[in-house]
Amino acid sequence: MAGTGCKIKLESVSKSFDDKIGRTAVLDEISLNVYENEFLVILGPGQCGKTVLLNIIADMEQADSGTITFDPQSSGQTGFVFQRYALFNWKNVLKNVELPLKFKGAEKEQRQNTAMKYIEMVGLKGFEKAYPSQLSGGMKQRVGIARAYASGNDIILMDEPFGALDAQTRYQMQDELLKIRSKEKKTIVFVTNNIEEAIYMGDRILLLSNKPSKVVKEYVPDLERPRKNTSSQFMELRDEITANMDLAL
Amino acid sequence: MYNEKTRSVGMKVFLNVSGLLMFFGIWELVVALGLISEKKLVAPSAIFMTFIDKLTNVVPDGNTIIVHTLTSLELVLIGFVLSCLIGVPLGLLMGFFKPANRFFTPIFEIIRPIPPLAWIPIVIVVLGIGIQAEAFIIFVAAFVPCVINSYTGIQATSKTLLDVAKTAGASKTQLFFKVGIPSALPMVFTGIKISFGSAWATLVAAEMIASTVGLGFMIQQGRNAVRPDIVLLGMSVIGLIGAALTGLLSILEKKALPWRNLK
Repeated sequence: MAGTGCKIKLESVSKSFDDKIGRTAVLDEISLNVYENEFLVILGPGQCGKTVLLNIIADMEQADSGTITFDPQSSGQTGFVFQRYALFNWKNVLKNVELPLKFKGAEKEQRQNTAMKYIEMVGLKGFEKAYPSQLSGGMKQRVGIARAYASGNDIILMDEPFGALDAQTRYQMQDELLKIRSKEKKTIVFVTNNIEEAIYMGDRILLLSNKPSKVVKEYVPDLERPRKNTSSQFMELRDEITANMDLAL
Repeated sequence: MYNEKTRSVGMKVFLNVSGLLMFFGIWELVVALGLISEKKLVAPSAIFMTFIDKLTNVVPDGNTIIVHTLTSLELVLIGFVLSCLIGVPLGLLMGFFKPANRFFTPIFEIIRPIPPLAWIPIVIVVLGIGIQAEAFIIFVAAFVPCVINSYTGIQATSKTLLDVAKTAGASKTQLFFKVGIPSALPMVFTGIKISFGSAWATLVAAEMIASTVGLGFMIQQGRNAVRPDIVLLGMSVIGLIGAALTGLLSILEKKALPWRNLK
């Protein structure tokens, strides 16, 4: 299970947006810790601000107030897996995975070796020269995961990474991700609105409310892996979380 | 081999060719049947004969069709290439960097609605009569679509892709060159093709500036000499070369953007 070191510490993080109807508070004083090498799931109804929270951690958006502190041993940079893959259409798989290293100024050979390692790990060996438009949704997201791992950052943020996939591919990718994770430990923050996915994947689950979002509850599923979504404990936990989860507005 | 693919390719070619044949066939027939007098409209076969004749004959406009064509091509290419060299970077900068946008947009918006032909009098006064003035008119015609398409293309760069690069530590310059420009390229190419069309279509007007050679000049001379075959020959050459070069640009586009049109 998770190590004890705290990788990211969020304290009273709040965020609002101005829009046509006025000011909407999205995050309301969110405090949470992300521990080293854990698989933390942030679960909440649609539109509750989970993505905003992740973007703030990734420094793609700024919080209005509150602090985010990274473990001093961590670079403070994160790998990011996007729901809509966010691949560069004009680059092949290899070049897409290499990209974060390229911007960091890594040597070509080292870049390629690292990229190839992760392309192999996500099961895309043989597709290095393919362009994103030639890949299925599941394969695109494998590229997305490889890219996040290849970035070399020890924290990976995943924003509903399987949300755009069909149900069958989604189950497959969940297992794939757990397999990848067992090969190489990383600290993962995984956002989803799917309760079963949260229980299936997470070492720890934080349940968020509708916006303005707060952390409502924390769950630590005491279930043996690989988890079975038909086991009685799984279903009990699912019922309990369902009862506590707001409906999406 | 007969399969779905060859069948559809064969069908395409058949439709292309039969469309052309019908167009020229009807035209030929209209003249042959005397529906329109041969003095007003010349049949395609007669235009072809004039073409053969004009390969060596310099009457009535002082040059062979080869010289006219090469002169016009040179003129259009100068104006067109210049407009790409200046218009594309300008559009990309305006679309990506806000200060550049604020600085250039008002000037551009004022210049944009002015038709290229309206420039002729002032251009003759400033640049005199000659290839510079003619090339400038063509430049103006080709410039606007270059800028607009590059501008629109780079503005449509996905914010998420920019975020990907930003979180990976890309600098603003890297964002421009590695994310903005590649994602704008399809639109830039469309702009270049439209620009070429405008440049070529402005040829006759540009050669009205006291030229002594060129396809536009040849058409003018044909008109003065009451030679509809010369006029139509000039028009035909402009049409054919325009279509061929646009096709060439499309091939270049496919080579430059191999990741598009993939199965």
